[in-house]
Amino acid sequence: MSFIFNRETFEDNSFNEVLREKLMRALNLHDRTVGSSSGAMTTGTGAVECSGAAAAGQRPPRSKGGFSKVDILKSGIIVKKVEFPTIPKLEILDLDVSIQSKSLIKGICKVSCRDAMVQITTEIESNLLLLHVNSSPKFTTPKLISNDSFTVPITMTFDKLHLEAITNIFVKNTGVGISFNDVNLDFRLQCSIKLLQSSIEKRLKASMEEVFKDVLPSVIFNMSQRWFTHGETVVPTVDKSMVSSDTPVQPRMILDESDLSDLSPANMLRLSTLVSSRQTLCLNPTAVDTISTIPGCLERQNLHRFNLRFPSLYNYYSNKEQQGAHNNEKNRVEHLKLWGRSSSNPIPTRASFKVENTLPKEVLDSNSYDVRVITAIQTKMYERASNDVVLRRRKIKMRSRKPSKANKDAVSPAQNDSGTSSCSNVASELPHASLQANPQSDEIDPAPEGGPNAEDAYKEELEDSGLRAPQDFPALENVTPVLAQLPNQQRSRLGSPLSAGRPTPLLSPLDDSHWLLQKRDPQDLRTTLYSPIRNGRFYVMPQPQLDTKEASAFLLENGKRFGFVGLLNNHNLKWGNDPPPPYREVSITQ
Amino acid sequence: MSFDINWNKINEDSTINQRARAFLNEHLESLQLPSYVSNIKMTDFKLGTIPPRITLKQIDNPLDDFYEALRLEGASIGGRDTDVQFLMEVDYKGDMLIELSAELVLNYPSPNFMQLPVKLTISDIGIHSLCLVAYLQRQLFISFLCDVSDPALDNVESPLDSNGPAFLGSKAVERISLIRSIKIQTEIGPQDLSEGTILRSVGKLEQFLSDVFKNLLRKEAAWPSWINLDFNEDVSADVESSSSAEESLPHRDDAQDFSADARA
Repeated sequence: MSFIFNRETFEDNSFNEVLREKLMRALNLHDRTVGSSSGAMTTGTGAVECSGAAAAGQRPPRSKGGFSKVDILKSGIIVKKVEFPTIPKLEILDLDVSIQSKSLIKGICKVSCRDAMVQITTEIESNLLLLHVNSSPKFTTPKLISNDSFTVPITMTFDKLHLEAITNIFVKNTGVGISFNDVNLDFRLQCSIKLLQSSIEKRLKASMEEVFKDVLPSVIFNMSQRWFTHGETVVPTVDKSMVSSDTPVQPRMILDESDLSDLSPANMLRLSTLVSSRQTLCLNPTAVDTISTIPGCLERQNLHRFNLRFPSLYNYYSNKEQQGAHNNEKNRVEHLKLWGRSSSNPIPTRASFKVENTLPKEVLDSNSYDVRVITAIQTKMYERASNDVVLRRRKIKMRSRKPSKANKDAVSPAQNDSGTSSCSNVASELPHASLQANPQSDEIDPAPEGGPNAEDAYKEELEDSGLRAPQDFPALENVTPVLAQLPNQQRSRLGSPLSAGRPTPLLSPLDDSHWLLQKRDPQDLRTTLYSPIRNGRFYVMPQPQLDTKEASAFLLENGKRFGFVGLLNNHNLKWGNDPPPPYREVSITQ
Repeated sequence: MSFDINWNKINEDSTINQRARAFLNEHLESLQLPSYVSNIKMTDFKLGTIPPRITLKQIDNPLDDFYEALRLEGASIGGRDTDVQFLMEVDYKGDMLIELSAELVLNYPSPNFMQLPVKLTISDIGIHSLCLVAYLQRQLFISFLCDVSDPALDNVESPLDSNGPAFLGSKAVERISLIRSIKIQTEIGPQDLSEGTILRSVGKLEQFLSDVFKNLLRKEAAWPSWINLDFNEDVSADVESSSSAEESLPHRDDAQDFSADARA
């Protein structure tokens, strides 16, 4: 028994009263609008049986098509009595929380409930002398006709209700799904009209399966949806489908003219390149350990490696990290020995996949770090990881009247915004860091109005152009701005006063990470997504405008459309060595 | 190790643990909880026998970011003579133990209709980070800069872990984990009743909780976020009253954070 029910609730009569009212309302609601969510009002584990039994009671007339119109029920259903003398048991047998998708909780529960009692009463039409005089010939008509309404009150008592069931419960943020397995239901029916008792009982038991398979889960789901939407009435999905089925479905054209016009020719070209790149007659296996085997395309399995190349503590301080890695390797070998394995066992180290953004201990001990560099890196990583998350900078007043309570003042949103912008300013204040991937930084911003507006506009432009990378592909977002920042003269400036005197590696996304350099990958990992121009392996298609302006300015001004322009690689067309293509503006006048 | 912490003193004094527990319990009671959580209590608290190692690495002028933040708040910045910033290496691999208990409540159809007791045991907390502590303009800023590599905390999993990293690729590298290792043990179900079973060690739930916890800390205290302790006297009574009126807000905010995290 995992859940504890409030004992008082069950000892108190008021709870039974509440249940009775809810049940009655539900039954009568159901009576009026057959087919709508039956018994949506009945709730709770306690009510499970009630609504089950009640719905079952309603079922036989409903299943006879059309019978519900001339319902034999002549009055509303009155629930006389509901009793829950014993506390139901609800026990969690297993629980599973999935982290990835929108919080989904799966549980297997055992429900058991006993000795419950429901008594309902209503009136039924039962004229045993009813004659269909209209359809019968005159000569057969008897003299005595009593075709008046003849209502008989009927009381049904379900007692010794006993339910045991194993249920699967799914909780999502949209509702609660439940399915019943292994239902064991037992009850005794006492009917005031003994004649009907066996018949009703038989029908009820026959319809139980449907109740637990269909009625109850949908009832609970609808109900939970109301909870999750905070009381907003949700239109039952059944109704929706009925409405939509009224209007004839128009056949929809796939890929009509307008759809095609949305695809930019540049995109189409890129897609076709992508497709054709996959077709190879090469007998050698495609290159390992390269970020892109296809020019300009980042493959899913290489995304991680691509991400690793962003400036971060582990590749910035890579020189020292190498030693650290060496030590780790030693440790690993010892680990392996502990596990009873020979040290030469080629188990792939995690290090090659799972890189933690840590400051190497050696760097810390040798004092060869710079706080400002670290802050810049961390700020940049923060910005890249969370675009929309507001910066948290709590202010706690220590001198307030109640010093014992830490009075947390949430920073107002406005301050938050400014805080965020301030921290992006940091990067621009540190020229050596040059982490600023935004085109906002002063040197390269051709539109002097600057500010966030310009940036937004720029982003919109990026989105307009078909070439924008998908959301989960954060790397490519930076491609164009980085390219824009690229000019060589800037690089020379990067030798900053802060790092003066010490030959620290440059902190710049443009530079190849030393970590990678030290790996000495035979395939030459430098795919230089960052620095196609510097690398000089590209032939930028000459365009008249390009000559007059700086590339960055060009991108910013009318960067409506970026196109993929072919590239020549100077590695004898061997795959695996191709740097990705430059993104460049296709000359389309606005 | 710059700070010599006489941890034995703490251990010898058994009242310290109790007092800390009492204080934390008091704080927990004052929290305004969402309606579906009740009775949150700290049932056990042990500081442990292993002290944190705190090393002072650098004393410097405060970073410009702090001044910038103050300036944006509209505070006038006075002389900078007394402003100072410490860079500290915090290394904690102790055996602190926290036991929390709470009850999840279903308030339908009647209030407090159904409860689910949950017990959490938190231990094995491992931190090795650089922490920036700046004091300027009578305000204290605390922010965790970055993690420091530590063989004891890196790659905690054994090399034989079958949950291969092959699909880790989707995740970008986190800038800081702050809490490098944490162990959360869960128990679901009432402790005292003998009937029925107690669901123990729900792995996924533990993972989920530790993620929520880590994310919360990362969001609140890791650079470029920070915690700002203001030692200034309140300027006027108005400010004070408004701040005390807002007192409940951050907690609710926290709860929303939590649920938002849970949904995310």
